[in-house]
Amino acid sequence: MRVEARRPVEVVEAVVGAAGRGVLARGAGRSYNDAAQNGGGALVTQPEPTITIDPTTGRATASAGATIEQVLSVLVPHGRFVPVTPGTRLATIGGCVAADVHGKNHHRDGSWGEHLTAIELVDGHGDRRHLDPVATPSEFWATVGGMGLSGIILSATFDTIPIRSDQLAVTTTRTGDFDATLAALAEAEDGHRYAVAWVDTSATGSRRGRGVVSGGDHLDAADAARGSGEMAYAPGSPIPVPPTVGRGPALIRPATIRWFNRLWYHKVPRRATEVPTSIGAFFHPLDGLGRWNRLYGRRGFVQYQSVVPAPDDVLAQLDALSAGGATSALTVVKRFGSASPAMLGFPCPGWTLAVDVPTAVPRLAATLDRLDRIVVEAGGRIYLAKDGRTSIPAVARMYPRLGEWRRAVDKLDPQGRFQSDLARRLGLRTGGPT
Amino acid sequence: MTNSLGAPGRILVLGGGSDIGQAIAARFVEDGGVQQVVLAGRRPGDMAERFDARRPQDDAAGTAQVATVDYDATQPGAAAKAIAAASADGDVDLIVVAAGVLGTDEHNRLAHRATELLGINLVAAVEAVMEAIDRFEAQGHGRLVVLSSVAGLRVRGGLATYGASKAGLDAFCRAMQQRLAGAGVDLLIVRPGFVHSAMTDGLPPAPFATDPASVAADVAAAVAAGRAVVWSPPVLRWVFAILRNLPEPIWRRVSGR
Repeated sequence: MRVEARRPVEVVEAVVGAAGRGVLARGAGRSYNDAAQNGGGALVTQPEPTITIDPTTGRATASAGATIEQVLSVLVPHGRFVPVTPGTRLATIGGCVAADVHGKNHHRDGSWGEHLTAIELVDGHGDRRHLDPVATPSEFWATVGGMGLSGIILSATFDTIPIRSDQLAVTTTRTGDFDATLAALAEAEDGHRYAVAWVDTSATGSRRGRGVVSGGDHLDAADAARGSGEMAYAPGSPIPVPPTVGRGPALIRPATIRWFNRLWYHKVPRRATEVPTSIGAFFHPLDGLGRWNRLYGRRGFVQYQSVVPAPDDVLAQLDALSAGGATSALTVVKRFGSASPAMLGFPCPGWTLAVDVPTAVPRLAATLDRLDRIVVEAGGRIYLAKDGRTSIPAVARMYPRLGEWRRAVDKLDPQGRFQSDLARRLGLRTGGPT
Repeated sequence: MTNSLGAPGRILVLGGGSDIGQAIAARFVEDGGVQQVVLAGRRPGDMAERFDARRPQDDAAGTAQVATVDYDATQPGAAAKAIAAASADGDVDLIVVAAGVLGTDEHNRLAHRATELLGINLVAAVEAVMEAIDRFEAQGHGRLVVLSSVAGLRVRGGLATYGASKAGLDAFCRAMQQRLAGAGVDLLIVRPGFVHSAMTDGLPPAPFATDPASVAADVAAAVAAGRAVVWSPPVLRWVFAILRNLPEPIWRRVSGR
């Protein structure tokens, strides 16, 4: 059952009226898994976005259903930018809070939750609550990263950053092996607000782990060539992948992945180059291609994202994938800065690896279980907004603060009204298997 | 919950002592992602022991636990109780309806023996299918695997009651599939041929005889593809396309083994 709540009172009604299978907020449905699904229960969407900004302080408030794209289209003309953006502009603010999302600036700016000053939440009693990190730290940090299981977020207030151009200066560097990738990434992090590495999974042997490192910064002043000091954000409509593509044989398969990776690597100039780049092209490149998931065919793909303390643990995962024949179509490596206080927050100091693997790869379940073991033994974790297949015991080991989070959420929702398929699958809420 | 690779988190086998039912559960465990297998039957200790011997010794995560609950297909209401017991800790994602008996010559000749067999193979199985569908509709998802048989596609004299029970169950499930279209609940009808198992021990094998593990592999592939009917081995689909249309005198001759 889906409830379209146009006013907060309708959210309250949906919570109070929740039946046995519970209720869950659903934003844009952009997580890679069952985080925004609630089989047999109610889903609440908040379709009418409201976004306000105080131009003097730069503090903004957005309703939970507003997307990053909608927020940017308000902020950018004021010379402001979101403190953190995930890899898609289609995510909602509620989703960004619930997953405590990170971006390419995590090494210096941390995650989304660290820029929040307040959250408005409907808790399990149906009460509207004002949460902030000073007065209600436990409720606040259980909600940030809490995957929507502590209540329904109505709005979030956050600090924005000033920008003086709607373009970024982006430097790309091609690297010859994994050590060079790590070194270039460290250098990019020191010199730039945004830094990330793409890894070419077609390379083996001595070239294993080679890739392209990009470092970016908002341009200091309006690009002179554009002649106007006005800043705008209009990412345009994506080019859609037609539905027939999704019904045919998968275009992304191990052979094409290797070709694509090789091409992508060689397309980057051998020597480091700096080019002005738009917000959309730098932060949200995949959004330019609508329904790109169709390229994976009917069986689709799974994304696996982990964070581990040492680069060797990243290599071990890449080796396990390659041994299992699970060639990743799109592989991203980045170093995280310090962890936020979110109890179920994903980022923590170390190296994050994100891979996209076609589901049709044989024995993929066993291969990803091997990755889980590498991650758990290294003291790392995988991202709850992306996992679709880990085990209950693994999650308990990856998230040592799960018990503390359950107690905090139980106070907000003693009757267990907030449920999701993700929570059921991984036994997240109290009463679930441990 | 069913995970993003299509693995059911919790499997319930109604008729947990059945070789084919166990083989299907073991196959999903081998493929990875299964957190719990619940075997429902009359002899818990024996079922669990046999399943442990059958399951892969090095399954992917090694995390699948085995539990047993009571289930006696001759008792009305047994399916509802078993499903409720299996769902106590969370959703059951896949239910295999596997309880059944082949019967002997007596079941084709004596009325009270025939109704006994129909009670297990048809009445209790229909009850199990309906209870499973109720549960799945309430939780918004679920996949049901029902063991039919090619013996129900064209019934022969030597298997009159068994064949009739499977014909009835198969027809009922076909009709249920119409109702379930778009409900988020899948029902797979399995039509195996002769399967070497405890049920057929000592009988002369029919052509295209198979084994429980092969049936399980066909079932796992059909579940993944979301199919409505699976024949095992698949060639039987074409064999029975012919057998079903044979004129009666010829059918009597070829079936009267």
